[in-house]
Amino acid sequence: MSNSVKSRRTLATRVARFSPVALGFAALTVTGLIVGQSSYAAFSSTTTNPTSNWQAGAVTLTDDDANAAAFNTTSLKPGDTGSKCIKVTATGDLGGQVRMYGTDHLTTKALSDNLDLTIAVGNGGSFGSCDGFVKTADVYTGTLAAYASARNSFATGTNDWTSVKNDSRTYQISYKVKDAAPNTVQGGTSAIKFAWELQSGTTAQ
Amino acid sequence: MSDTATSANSTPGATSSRRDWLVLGSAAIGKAGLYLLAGFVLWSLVPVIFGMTVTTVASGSMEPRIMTGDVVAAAPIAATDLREEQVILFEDPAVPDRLKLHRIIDLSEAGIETKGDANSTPDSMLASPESVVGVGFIRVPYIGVPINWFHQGELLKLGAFLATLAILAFMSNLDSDLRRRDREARAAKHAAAKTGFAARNPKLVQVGAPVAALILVAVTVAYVVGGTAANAAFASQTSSAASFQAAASFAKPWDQASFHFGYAETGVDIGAAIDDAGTPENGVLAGGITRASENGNPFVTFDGSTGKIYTERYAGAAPNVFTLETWFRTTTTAGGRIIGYGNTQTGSSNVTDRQLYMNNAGRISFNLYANGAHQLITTPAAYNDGKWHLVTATVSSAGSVVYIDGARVVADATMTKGQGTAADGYWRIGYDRVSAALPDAPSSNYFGGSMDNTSLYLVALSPAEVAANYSYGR
Repeated sequence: MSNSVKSRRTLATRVARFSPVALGFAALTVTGLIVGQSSYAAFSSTTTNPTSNWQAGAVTLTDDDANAAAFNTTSLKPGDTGSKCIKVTATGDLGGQVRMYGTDHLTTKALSDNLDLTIAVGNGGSFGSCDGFVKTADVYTGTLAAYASARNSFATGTNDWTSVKNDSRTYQISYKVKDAAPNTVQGGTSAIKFAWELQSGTTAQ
Repeated sequence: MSDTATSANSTPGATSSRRDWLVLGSAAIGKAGLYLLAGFVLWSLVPVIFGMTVTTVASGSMEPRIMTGDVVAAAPIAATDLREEQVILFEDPAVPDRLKLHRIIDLSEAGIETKGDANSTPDSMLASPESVVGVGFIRVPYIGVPINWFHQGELLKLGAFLATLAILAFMSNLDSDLRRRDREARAAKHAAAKTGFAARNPKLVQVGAPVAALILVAVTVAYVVGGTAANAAFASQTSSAASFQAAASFAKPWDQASFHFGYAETGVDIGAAIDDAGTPENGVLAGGITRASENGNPFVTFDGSTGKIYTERYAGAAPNVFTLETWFRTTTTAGGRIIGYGNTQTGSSNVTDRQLYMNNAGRISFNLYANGAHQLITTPAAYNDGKWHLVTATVSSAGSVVYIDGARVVADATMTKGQGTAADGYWRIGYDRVSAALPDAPSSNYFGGSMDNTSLYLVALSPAEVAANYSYGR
């Protein structure tokens, strides 16, 4: 045994022996503290809501109606028709499905059952005038009542537009009072809010 | 005693000691890197033991407090314990088979209203309490970023991450030689060290720790990759209101008409075949007259030389209380008979009055022949301007009135009856003889132009009714 001097314990070798344990204990502690802190910061309700400053990656959908109503029509009689175009624009970095649906529907005297609704999507035209509108797809044909009951949320909305990034479409909404609307519909009313919504990361259904 | 080459690293000296510390330092960095990673991974897995749902946040609408790539553990929660401001993991009502991680902003009977911190508006659909998977409890920052890379196919970044892991593993093993020397040195003093586990299985001990760490990572990756990511989807909405109101009355002007022609048919017949029975509600287009339509609204156009409409026989004496009404559009300068009474069905009548005609100047005249003399009222203005106008003539015991476009234009209280007739007659549209004795008799008896909604009423419409007929439109 005398010719194998072998190793000597130095400070380095002692540290090498204990370093895994020490490092492991330290890592557990450090990560535990970080996770604890980040959990508290994320899920406690006491800190202020920092929504107003956050912009990166957000996506915004706007339309060109300047808060005016698409339709505010009175004295409708059987056979009366009307049409309006609205340009919807998506700005931001993200893409996703833009779906159209109707909410806040109210009707009296079954006017909505006697209003035929036709919606088309395309390009060109604006809220001021449908001149130049070129249709690319039909979105909906049927009564306003059927639209309000079938297409009333993002999950059930029509989706004919996959926004990629910073693009727009024009929707043309047309109505016609059914020729055969009975006299019981006289004086009736219909109200609906046409809505467009983009959710990032969605695909056509 | 002989020094062997192996004693080179046992020789005390500054150089080897510095090299030892370099090796030690590198190994410590490698170990630290792996152990930190393993630590985060452990905190991601432990919640599973306690029944929590662990997901990777796939998008950023909860930023800046929850970032894309965070791993979030959500603790089960009873619906009655839900509170506003809580961040919940729930089944997305807007997109089936997708979990959403958003903040509760309102609780009501109708459902849970949620909102992403980075969205400007709340989520458009309410969530039901049954769809809540858990409330956010533990957040392990960024540990899921490589998992998102895997889901999104970012193979380059994933490869770089795995390469970094491999480098850390290699570095963490650099001090194996130092550890072996330490063990051997101890073995010289302590028998236990020579026969202990570490002495008998040096290779196992060497690779044990980093392998354990890597196994831990692999298990977590497998668990979370196999699970569903939590979505914090950015959303934005815009809307436009619409309101409609039906008229108080759907009554059409001609609901009370004796006959009314809207010209919606095709072919030469108006209504049914002529049978001369009852009121003259049917007619025939004859000669140079064509059907046309604008915006889906049909009408007829007379050529001004041969076109006319003849109708069924009007039985009995011609009336002295009646209204004649029609929309017309023309640019003719030769005038023409628009509508009136005659004793023949298609030809040039010798008994003709109760007639509206346009004179050469384009003004509208209304004529009755009574007590052997013609009576005539004429509008001051001309209407051969190529635009649609509504002309209405009413006759009653109060006299005759001519309205243009729903407004009274000219009247004569003494014009109370037309020519008495003993036999039946016909209402003629577009052509019949206008007496040459009339001072403004037109050059052409045939009316050249268009007409729509031509009606005969056997009552004298009131001014309000005439105005309503005009606002009803063509």
